[in-house]
Amino acid sequence: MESKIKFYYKLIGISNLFKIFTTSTSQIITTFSVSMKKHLKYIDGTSDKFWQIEVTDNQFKVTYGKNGTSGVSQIKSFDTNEDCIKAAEKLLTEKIKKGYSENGEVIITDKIDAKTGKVSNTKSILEEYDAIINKKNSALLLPFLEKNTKGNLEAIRKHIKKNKRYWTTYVDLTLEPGYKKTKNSNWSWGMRGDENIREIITLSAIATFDKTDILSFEEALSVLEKAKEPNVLEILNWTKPNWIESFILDRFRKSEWQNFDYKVLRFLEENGFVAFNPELFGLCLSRFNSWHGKTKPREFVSFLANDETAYKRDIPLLYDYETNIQNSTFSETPNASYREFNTWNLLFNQLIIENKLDRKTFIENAILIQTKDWNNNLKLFFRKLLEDINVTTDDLISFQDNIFSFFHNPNPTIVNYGAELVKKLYDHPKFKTKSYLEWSESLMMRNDCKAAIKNSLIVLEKISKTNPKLNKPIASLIADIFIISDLNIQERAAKLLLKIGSEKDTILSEKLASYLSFMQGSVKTSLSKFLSEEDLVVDESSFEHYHYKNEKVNVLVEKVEIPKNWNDILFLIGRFISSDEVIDSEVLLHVFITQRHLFPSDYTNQLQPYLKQLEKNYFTSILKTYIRNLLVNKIPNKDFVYKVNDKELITLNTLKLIKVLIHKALQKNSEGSQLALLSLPTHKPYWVAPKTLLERLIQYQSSKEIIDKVDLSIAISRMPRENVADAIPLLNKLDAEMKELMSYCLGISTELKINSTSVFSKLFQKVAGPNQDSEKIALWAVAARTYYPNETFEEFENTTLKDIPFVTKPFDPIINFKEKWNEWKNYHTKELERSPSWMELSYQLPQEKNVPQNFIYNLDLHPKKERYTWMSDYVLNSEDNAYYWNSLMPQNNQPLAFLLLSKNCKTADGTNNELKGFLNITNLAGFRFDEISLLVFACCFFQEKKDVRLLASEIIINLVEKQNIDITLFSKKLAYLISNKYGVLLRLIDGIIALKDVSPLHNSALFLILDGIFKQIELKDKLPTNFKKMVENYLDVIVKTNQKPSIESIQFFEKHKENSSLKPLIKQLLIS
Amino acid sequence: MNDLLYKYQGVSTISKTKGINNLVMAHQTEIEEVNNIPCFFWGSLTEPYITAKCWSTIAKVVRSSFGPIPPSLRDPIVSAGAERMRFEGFSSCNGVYVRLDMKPEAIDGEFIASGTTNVDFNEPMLNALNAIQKNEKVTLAVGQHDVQVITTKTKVVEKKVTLPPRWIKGLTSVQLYLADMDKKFELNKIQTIQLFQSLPKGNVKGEFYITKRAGKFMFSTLETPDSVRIGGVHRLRLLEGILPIVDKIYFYESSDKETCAAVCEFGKMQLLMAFSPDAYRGFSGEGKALENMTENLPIEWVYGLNSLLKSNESFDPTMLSIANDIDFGTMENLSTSLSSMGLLGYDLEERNHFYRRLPFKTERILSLNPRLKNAKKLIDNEDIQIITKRHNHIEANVKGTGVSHRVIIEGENQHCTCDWFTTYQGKRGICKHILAVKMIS
Repeated sequence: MESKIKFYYKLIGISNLFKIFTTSTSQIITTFSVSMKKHLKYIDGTSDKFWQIEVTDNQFKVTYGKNGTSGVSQIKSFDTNEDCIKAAEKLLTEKIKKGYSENGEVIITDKIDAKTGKVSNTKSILEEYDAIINKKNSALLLPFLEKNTKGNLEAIRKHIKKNKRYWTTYVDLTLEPGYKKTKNSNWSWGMRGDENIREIITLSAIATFDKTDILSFEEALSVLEKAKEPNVLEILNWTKPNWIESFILDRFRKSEWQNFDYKVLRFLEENGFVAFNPELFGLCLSRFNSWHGKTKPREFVSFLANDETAYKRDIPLLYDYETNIQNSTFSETPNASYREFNTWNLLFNQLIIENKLDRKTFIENAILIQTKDWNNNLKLFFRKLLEDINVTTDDLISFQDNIFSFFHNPNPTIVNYGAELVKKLYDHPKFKTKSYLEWSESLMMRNDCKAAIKNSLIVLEKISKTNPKLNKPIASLIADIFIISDLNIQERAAKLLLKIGSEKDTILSEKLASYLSFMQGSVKTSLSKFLSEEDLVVDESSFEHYHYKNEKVNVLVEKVEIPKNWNDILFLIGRFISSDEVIDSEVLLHVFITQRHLFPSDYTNQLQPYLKQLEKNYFTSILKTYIRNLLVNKIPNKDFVYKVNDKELITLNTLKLIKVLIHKALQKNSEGSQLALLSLPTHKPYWVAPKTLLERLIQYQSSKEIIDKVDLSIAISRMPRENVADAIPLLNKLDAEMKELMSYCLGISTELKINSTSVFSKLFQKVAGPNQDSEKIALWAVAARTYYPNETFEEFENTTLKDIPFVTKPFDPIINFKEKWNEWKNYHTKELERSPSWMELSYQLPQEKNVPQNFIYNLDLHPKKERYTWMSDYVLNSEDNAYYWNSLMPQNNQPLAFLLLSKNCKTADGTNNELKGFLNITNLAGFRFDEISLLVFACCFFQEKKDVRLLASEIIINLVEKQNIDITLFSKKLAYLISNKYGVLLRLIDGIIALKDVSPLHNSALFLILDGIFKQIELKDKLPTNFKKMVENYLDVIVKTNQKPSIESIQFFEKHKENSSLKPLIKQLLIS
Repeated sequence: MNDLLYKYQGVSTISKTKGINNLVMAHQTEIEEVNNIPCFFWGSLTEPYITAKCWSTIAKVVRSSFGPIPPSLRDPIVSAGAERMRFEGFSSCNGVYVRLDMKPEAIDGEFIASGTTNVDFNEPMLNALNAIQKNEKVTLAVGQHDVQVITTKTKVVEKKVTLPPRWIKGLTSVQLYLADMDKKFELNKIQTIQLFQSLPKGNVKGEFYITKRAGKFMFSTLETPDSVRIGGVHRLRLLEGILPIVDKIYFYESSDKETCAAVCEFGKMQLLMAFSPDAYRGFSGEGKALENMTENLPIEWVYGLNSLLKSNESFDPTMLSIANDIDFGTMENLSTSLSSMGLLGYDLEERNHFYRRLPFKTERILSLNPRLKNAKKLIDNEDIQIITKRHNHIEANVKGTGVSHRVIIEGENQHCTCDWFTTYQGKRGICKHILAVKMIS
């Protein structure tokens, strides 16, 4: 504590000291003054830079950098002014020699070597180099280098880079002078230089470049590979580069595909160009393949097997570095698989047989490799080799500790392999049983290593037989298996435990007691001798029975906030851009109807940043796209009335309803109306409170504003029958016709007054037209379908809308499943072949009728063909469109469910973001399932996409908790889908098993689901794959809930009791 | 800002003599005085098997990448001092931070010097670690204990490592995330196994929530009020190698529910793994640090601290502030500023900061905050025009590219009309415009 206080004071002390120091250094006394300033430039094809020197007394400041920038400065001080000016002048002459000049033109002057006095002509040297390239004669290169590199190295390097750029970049050759079209190809792109030129350039680079420069010169690798050729070798001998090792290794690390001839590498090593580097040599060996270079795999194998350095020093490196040697395969017989032989498998086998590779070291490494963080196929390669060399138990026993450590490996394959090896080893005299038991502990709880556990059970049983003293620790080990919720494996464990466990073993009893809740089926009862009375008592009070509550929840909870000031509006727009909430869009539309007075005079200016963002953003939500267009039009002028141009936004009619609302809003702008849209939600996320809707209608009535019938339809469909009492007093203020409609909506009257033509039409008098009547009827139809989704209304039979689905009756088509498959002709056999078939779900549509736009429940039943894309018809495409759709008709989800059923649930494959959206909707307060939405929900459990399934099983857990799903109906839908082979059964099983053990209520729900499935399933031929797993879970949940199978289920199982895989399970079922 | 490039003068080696594994870690830093320390620690490991497994996990983290950046070899850093050792590292994508805290009981030996440095984790060394068995003896030397012996035996191979600025910055800002975390769950061995068994099989990515249901922990796709969110759930597989030996796992979550950390308890040591909000995001975003960096700390303090505290010593700003009657806010600022300079780490279990000077030049670390730099530039260019300023309410116009942004600060609520703020709605800290307005007002 005390030291820390001190520390703080010290900190302050130091900072004060520093201040004093900085102020005292600024004064320097000068004696006499000298000054000079030079500014030079260097401008050529590749550079554009300057260099400047300023001398003041005994220091100079050098500034350099790109022309146009202020550059970087360095200051240097000298003892005397004289020294300073001397040094500055020296620097200046150097720069001028390099080609710097005052106007920037590069002048390469002939240099005079300070020591020899010899005049060297850089310009002519470079011309000489160009001549070599033009002659394409690489033999001239070395004499040239020998003569000229001294003193000109920098210039030559630069020149090589320039030449490389010119000769080896891909260009359109038709633009080159002297281009001649070749007959064979229309392809006119290529390099200016041919192979010879490229080789000369690369060789020059090898000869003159240093470690860093060469890194970007990839071509050097293939030239280095020709090191044995005299023209390359002579260059190497002359230049003796020290970078080859790091250069090749760098290329190896950058690409797994890069290879380099091992023999050449060895040649380079023998000649002193490369030092031995384990990683380099290991990787180089491993990159051998038969299509690179001329060496055939078998030749390569025999070369390595007869080269002592190779097999003694280099091949063991393959144990240390992760490689891809498992892929080095080849074939010799025609028509054989290209994996007929593996080069390295042949080699290792040969070396071990010939005793050139130590067998024991090999085995040790092959075992150690299994636990490395390496490629699984490479590990498999070594496992296979172990098998090939006929490894014996005596070989393995010395590495048993390493084998035991496999049990800690995250990869189940390795764990299972370990268990297999132990199965061979356990009766070896040197087997360390105790150590084995210790390592096995973590294995027993792993549900991903069932094969290893089964093998271990066999081994443990044998060990117990020969060494009964170990029964206690073995029993304790076995007990841990009960954590894994797998009936089969638990039964095996129980069987063994009954043999070797002792009732007096309290540790065992305690352990088993703590695992009771994990025990499946009748495992608990079979282990009763180890358990106390207390554990075995079935606690009746802990059982709960699931029943569907079917309760209405209150939805008018959270009020929608309307922006109160300009800042609110400003940031509402920001939120709109980034959010997926439907409400943000609608409130924004509302702002342009009622809140324009809050806009400050410079609003256009303030909104510019948003305008820019909107112009570059793309939204998947149709709603947001329309509102974006609104903003783009309104930001320059908030009062602007425009025509909605939505040619590019062809979409489902339902999603397009926003267009009508925007129209209405713009109309209000031009007519000066400030009344809110009827459908504007009052409560989140999309509800309209009855009282507010009535108030709005009264306002429209008193200001004689025309009501848009789409707006009213949406408003009705968004109005829950909640807080109705607040609204009733307002009914009398409405015109008679509207009063009748709203009384019906509020549930006060049940009479559909569709035939009264008297006063009601007054409201709509201004818009006269042929649709008048049907739109009016549609309003009643919307109201009826909103509050009574499943009822039949004969009243509509006499209207023009009578044949439109959802008007008189809910839409209830026949659903079909059709088997489909792909077919093709086999190229070899000329016979037709078929892919595995799948089932496709569809339903029949009635003849299409004209539907009034405000009958929102039937706008998209018939698919609209899309003309411009490969997709056959319109789909929702994204989650947000599903949310908007649902917000338009939150109390009747049948139309959405039908759309999803035909578009997204046709098969269980494919990406279905819409289904994710649907699942999130089902989780919202106020959502109520019916037949069709339950069928869609059931389909979600079969989807190929895992995220859809995971979400679905989360939702069912939630729904069961709230008792908000009709489980009997749900199980009927599942049985229906299974009976028609809709999708992979295992997907469904995994999805619903998630319910197990969440709570007694969930177990009860799971029982009802499974029982319902067996009750109603109709299987035409053999049982689907994994059917057994479903029965196992059924059995388990029967025990857990203390329920009995229903009579219908028992009848189902009676029919299948001779099925060999189900037999033992059914036996138990029929007993219980 | 360029990548930092450094070269090890030696390699870490592990050799077996008389049945004892001798592990010598080569170290390197760009700070000359630390580099000159030949050896920090020499002694033996009390739990060699567990330690080896933890090191392998660290190696796995530093060699992985979950973002668009290809994985490249990076080495962990080690802090030795105050009887403890800590190894820290980052995945190449900067989304996973890992730290092994070895308590005094985990090591038995002599701390020759205290400090923080990079250590070389090479392939042969990892191969050797992989082979270490339960009852083996392992000695550890951080730095070369006896220079002569090693150099005559092994050939010096230069190993080059490049560290991008992102990596260094991540090391500093992750501490701020950690300091903001609270413990949410404590899982025993069985619960841990059950949790990881509920990790969806196959290539499932995306965000999941760790939820407790009926005494069982599981991964769920739906958020519940007390669940812990983990983005890019596949990254948790990095822990698989140590699950069989872990006693307990604690889960921590930051107050904004964006980041989380898992602490694996081994008694004598702990392995911490922290996860960024999503697989495609790194910890290098500086949002966390910005709010507290509006005031500058004199750089001399850094040197002052270094002479007062040893590596791994705990740093307690509250105690300091009470004892010296210094404003609480200033002291809190001090620890955040020191963390973002790479001088403090945060220990989740003990809930305090500890001192350790990252093995990078302070100037390098300080240059890594572009948003702060940009904010200062806005001030220097006089691009800010304050429109109204009342108590707790500021409105200002800030010049942007071609447009003028509106900044409004109302107490805790801060808004700006720029793209960055619009996209993240304040979830990634404040934008440079808000920052600049805050700095001048």
